[in-house]
Amino acid sequence: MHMPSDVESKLLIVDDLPENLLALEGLVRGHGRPVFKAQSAEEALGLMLAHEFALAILDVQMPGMNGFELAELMRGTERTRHIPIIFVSAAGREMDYAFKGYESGAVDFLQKPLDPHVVASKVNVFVELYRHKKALRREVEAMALLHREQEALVQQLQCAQRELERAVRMRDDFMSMVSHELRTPLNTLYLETQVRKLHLGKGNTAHFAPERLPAMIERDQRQIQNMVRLIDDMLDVTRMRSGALSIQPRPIDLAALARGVVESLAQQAEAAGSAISFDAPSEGVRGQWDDFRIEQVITNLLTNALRYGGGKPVEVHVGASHDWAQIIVRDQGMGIAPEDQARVFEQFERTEASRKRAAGLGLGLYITRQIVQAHGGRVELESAAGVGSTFRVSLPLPGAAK
Amino acid sequence: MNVLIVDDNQASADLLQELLVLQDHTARCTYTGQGALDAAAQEAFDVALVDLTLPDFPGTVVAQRLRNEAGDKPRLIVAISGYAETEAVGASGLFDHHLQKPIDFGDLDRILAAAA
Repeated sequence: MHMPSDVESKLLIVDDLPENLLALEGLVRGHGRPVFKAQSAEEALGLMLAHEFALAILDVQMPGMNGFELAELMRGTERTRHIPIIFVSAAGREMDYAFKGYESGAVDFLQKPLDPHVVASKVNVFVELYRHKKALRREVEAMALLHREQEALVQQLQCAQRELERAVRMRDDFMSMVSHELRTPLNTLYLETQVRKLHLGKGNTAHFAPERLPAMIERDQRQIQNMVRLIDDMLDVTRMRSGALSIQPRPIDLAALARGVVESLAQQAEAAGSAISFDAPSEGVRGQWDDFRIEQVITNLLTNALRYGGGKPVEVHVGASHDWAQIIVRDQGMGIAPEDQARVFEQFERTEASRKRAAGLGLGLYITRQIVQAHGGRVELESAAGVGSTFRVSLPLPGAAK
Repeated sequence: MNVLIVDDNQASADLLQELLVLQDHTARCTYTGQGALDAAAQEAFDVALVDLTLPDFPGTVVAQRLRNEAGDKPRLIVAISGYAETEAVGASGLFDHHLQKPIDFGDLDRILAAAA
């Protein structure tokens, strides 16, 4: 608690006669008690608007508004209602005049001629009272502040707890999804082995005829690649989150790289019923990029275009304009609603429509954007539901100002 | 034993069919919920193996409609899923068994033997 003595106690004295004011000031002043003087009720009211007073000493007999009238005005206003008042009167007669505010307390009387001891002791009582009140109010305010701080802290903790719960839920969902996604190709592979075992058991060697083997191997490899890709995606996300994704740029031709991806996805395109058209400048688009990572970007975008392209043609353009190399992948499929367009680039985010359409972890576009950004580039999406999606990747060309 | 398979993962459905045929069952493969219902309207199956996540409607709906609508109802309806059995699916009473992928062939054999 603050010591009451740190509190400054302003005193207001009101008397129409300057010599009375001077005399009274001499009696009441002291350390930590600045004295304000007013020669009329109006002047006193002006001072009360500007200052907070510990005590007002009012001469009763004043021309114009007298001390009692001033006191009544003070009691009628919130700002001045609680200022204790000491009335000073020349004769004892006026004391019969019942001041309306008397019952509200904090009113006292002094008679002229003033007895210095009586004045000092009365003023001291009120000043002490004021200081204690002030100190108490400060204490209450400090406690209120503390309380607000504690409330804020509790809210922060609750917020942190919700975040943690969300993170744990996300991790659990993620584990469940990863497990599901791995189980699907694993199931196919397991069925393949079991079917072969049964054929073998029946002595059915035709099943293993040389002309059948390439297709068999291709099927197995596809399932294995699915699983490897899933695990790579998971590890990439972990690396990206810890900022450890390494980009190793070296001189490459973006056009040749993209053409390679398009060719490698030919079979998938056929299965999806989508033709992929490809165009790029014949001289190629050369720059310094991480070919492995950029291949991943093009594969992700093109795989999505085939998955969600509704069996309609998919276009891939590679080009350069000004300081940027561009890869554009356009499909004419289900599209992405405006409200989902920012979300699809976040990890584990999938639209309801895409969930129904195909399995997946919701990592492809997140990884895509992280890789492009790590190259100093950007990914833009233009899409409308039912019309299709266009993903535009821009990568800085050599010599471009970053 | 005549088995109905419904799984939108075609490779998995086809292999399961081959596996069952190799074990001297007959089996029909479908890749959508509607496909499974259409097949059940055409012929009677002893057992239905139903993937829970299908493109047109959930496996639970397929199971319910097989139970309510098919003329000769399958004796057993088995859920197949990449996920572990959830309480909701378990409590629905729509499935006699739940097989998690990758399918344990011993479990599958026991289920089919019990249905015979």
